[in-house]
Amino acid sequence: MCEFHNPINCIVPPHMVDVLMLRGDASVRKMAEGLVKIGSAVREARAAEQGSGMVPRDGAQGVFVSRALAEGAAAAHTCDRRVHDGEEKAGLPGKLVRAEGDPATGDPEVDRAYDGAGDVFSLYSEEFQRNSIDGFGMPIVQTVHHRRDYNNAFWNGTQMAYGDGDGEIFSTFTELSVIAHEISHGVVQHSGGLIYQGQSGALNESYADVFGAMTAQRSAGQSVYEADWLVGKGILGPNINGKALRSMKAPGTAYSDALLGQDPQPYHMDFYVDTTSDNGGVHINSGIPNHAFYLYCMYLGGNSWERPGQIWYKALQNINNPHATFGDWAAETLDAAIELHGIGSYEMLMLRRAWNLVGIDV
Amino acid sequence: MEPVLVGCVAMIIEVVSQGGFGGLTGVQVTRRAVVEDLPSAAQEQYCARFDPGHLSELAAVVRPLGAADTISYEITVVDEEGARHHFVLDETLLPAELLDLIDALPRAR
Repeated sequence: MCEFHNPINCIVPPHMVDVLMLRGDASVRKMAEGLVKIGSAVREARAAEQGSGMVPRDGAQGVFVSRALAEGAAAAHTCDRRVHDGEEKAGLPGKLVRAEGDPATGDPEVDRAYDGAGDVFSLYSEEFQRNSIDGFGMPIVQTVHHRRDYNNAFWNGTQMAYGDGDGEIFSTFTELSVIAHEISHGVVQHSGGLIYQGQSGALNESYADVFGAMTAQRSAGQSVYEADWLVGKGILGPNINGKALRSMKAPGTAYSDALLGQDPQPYHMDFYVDTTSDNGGVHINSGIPNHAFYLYCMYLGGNSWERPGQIWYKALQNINNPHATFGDWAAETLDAAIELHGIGSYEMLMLRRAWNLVGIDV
Repeated sequence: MEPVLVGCVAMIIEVVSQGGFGGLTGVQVTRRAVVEDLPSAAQEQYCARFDPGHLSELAAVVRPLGAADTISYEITVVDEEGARHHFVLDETLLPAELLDLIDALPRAR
């Protein structure tokens, strides 16, 4: 029996509220936030009554169709880059220093962010017929010099921000694979979203790494065999023993350092890391789908943004499950491979093999 | 004689940051300060921004679900009676002014 005054509190399961907040317009998000607050209070009260710290999350999947569909041909797409200088403060977006079409500023951080965003826009437009982050020509807003000694880059739901690093652990964040990674988080958000927790969060991270590496490879004109498959190459501090932040070719080997420790990424489900930190290990377990993509590219050869990239992109547009597991994602990529290349095709068979090699049966 | 901070609840502030693009779970940066030891001109700002009541309000806001790679802050405020007030807040929930104050705190890693 429903024990609350508002019946929607009894009907909407928590995971569906997450999806409403991710996909809804302003009014829907506000309603969903209200439900979360009410839900938290109720769960705490129930937990206190029952002597339990947790209330099980269960229920059916939500049904929300992605609005992030591509529009028109690449020729109709217009890039709108806006790079801001945060001037080492936290306020966003900061001072606009380079807008679309403006000449180089001479500030390497500004100019790398501008040029990098151009490469990302070009990849999505020319190879995937997607018009910017949201598919509808959204301005690409970036802030460099964000905060003081800030060791991070992020997508906050509306824009990218890059710190300069503290010079010890990180020396920069405006490296092309990082820029493409952050912008691709925006693409994920505007393609129906993957909740940033646990396996769906690791898939969100993996998609961003895959398209980060893909952008760098396309920009350098590298085939899958010529590429180094590193994400964040050269961004670590000068005394850190490491070549990059992550390796898709060999997860777990990007760095090994006295300060940072060993790169913790697994390459197989046997080594999946159960943890509560890092939103349930989103930057750790992403090594598994990352490596599956790498293996698949090795089977197919050619360029990553062609057959493998088209399958990954199609899977993102079609999955419609923000709580997807690795198994769900693998199945979606297989569906995409069948749709694009046919049942029993080499592309389908090798994809299944790649997923099997990282411990995911599909 | 040091000025007395009338109405300031926060006596000690500790901020531990983790997460972000790197996912470097082994590298946590800790910043810690006794409010009275901070520059006198800044003490009032720290008192206001790190008031447990204010932080509680921020903690009640839901993090934007599309955001990714953001840093999480564990903020502990010890009040004048020694009680510890603990909050875990995503950086997207914190006002820019508060983030700038965090950046200005001395590192204690």
